[in-house]
Amino acid sequence: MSSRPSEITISAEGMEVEIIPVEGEINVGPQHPGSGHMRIYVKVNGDIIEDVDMDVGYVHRAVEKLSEIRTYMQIIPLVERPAILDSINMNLGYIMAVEKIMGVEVPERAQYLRSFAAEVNRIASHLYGTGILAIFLGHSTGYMWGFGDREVWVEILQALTGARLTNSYIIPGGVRRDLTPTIKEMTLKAIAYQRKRMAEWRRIFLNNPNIRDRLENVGVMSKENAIKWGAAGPNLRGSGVNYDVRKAEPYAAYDKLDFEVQVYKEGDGYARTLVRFGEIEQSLNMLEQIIKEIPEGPILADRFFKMIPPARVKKWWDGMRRVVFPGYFASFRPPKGEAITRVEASRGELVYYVVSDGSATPYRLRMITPSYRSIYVFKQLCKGSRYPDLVSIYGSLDYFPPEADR
Amino acid sequence: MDKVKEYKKEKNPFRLFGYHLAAVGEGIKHFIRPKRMTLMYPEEVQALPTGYRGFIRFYKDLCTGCTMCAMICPADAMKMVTQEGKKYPRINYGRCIFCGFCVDICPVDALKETPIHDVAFTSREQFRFPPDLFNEEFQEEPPLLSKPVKRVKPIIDEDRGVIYVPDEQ
Repeated sequence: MSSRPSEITISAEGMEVEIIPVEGEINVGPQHPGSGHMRIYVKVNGDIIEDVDMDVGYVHRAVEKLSEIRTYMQIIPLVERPAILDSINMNLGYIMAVEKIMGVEVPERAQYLRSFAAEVNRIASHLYGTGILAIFLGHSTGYMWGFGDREVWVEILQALTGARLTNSYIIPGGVRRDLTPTIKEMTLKAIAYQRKRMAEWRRIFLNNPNIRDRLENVGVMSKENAIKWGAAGPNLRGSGVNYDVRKAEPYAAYDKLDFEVQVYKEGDGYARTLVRFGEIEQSLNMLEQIIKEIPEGPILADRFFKMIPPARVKKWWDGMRRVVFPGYFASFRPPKGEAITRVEASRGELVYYVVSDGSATPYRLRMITPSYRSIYVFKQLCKGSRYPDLVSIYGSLDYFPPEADR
Repeated sequence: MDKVKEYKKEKNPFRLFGYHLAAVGEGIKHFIRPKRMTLMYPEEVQALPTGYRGFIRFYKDLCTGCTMCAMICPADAMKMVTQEGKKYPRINYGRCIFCGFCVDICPVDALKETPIHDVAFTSREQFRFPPDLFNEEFQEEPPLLSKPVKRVKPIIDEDRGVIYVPDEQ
């Protein structure tokens, strides 16, 4: 047997395996279910990833440009679409920016309802992310469980807002529908169910040595790197950075709610997963607090509520606990101005920048989505890791391509 | 200031074996007593709650032709057409995103949400509902099944998550 200089031979008792370092490229996606709507161009050397090129933009929908020709109300469904499983948070950030320009005071009850919907949505979104991570790791039970448990929360959102995912629930000055006793009861049952499930999730997924081996010490991001690479949300908190917009700059009712920011030191895939699980538990606590503490009162700012015809107020608000739109919403013109807001969406900090020139459509809308900031993090984390860990890192980042492409 | 947590990296092989057993045991538990929450569509159909934003019904006699529904429509599904000198909305369900904005803004409540959601059309022409068709009660095609369709209602349960019970209506 001729021996080339590049050959490496591993010999164990009676066995000889030849490993020839091979350099090459592997295409992952864009059709592969594991890559999402994205092509990952992986340069490998043997089993080691040398570099990763992310070919993003397959689901670019020009949300920012489209919003320049839409009225302020028409943008509500538009900004939800990038992250359809996180629509309440996407909607909330945009509406907060519009309210800042218009100078609208939101009633207390509406603020609580916004937090309520956002937390239900956060649980649903984290369960989705966990399900996707589980199927990436070959754990199809976790996938089914994630999507099954999510159904409970989606059902609550459906009862509250009238739609499963495309909620369009938050409007300038408040929210569209009120929390009824039926929904309160549903939520309390769902909280009890989810608490029981968390123990089962721990046994089958989190403490499962198979899963831990795939996630521990994989894709380790140090605190310094997390800040330098611009990670956001649970990925940032998994690296030991204590930053949560709900604490740093409280919006909605978060200044009145008591919760703990989940921060883990390790910075690997397992820490990021634990942050998400911890956040689900914190969200359950928050939902209980909201149900207990929610004040009575209007759910739409007085300024808009007065514009609704009295006959309609009687029918919808007194009868069905729903507010309807005043005619003003058909095409309102906010004063000239600009506003920047940020919210903690499920995947991290979401920033909206809206410029109004006094017309019925915004002059400019800029949205910086948390998944967009995961692209560079993913590229950096993959360098030097093994090829099978690509999906593990990808899943642990909870990257959502449509949200990044917008 | 919230504290930075650390998780314990397990090295003890006996405890790791225990975790394996716990995971397998959990799987066996669910194998014997599954917590299935599948809706057996189309044999079972979910009865949608009141306030569900499904297909929209139009009441022509109430309409004042104010065009507000067409103005707010985010998807341009609602358009105004003139009939006998009066303006009425027509809807294109190929574009409708079921946001319910038109229902909420109509000052005379001439539009109403119905809990009808799953409808199939055979051609694109059928997506468009001119005012007269839009005015009619939505006709649900009987599904091509030998068995009658069971209408079920989802109920949140503390043990099973979502359970579907027969709907009495």
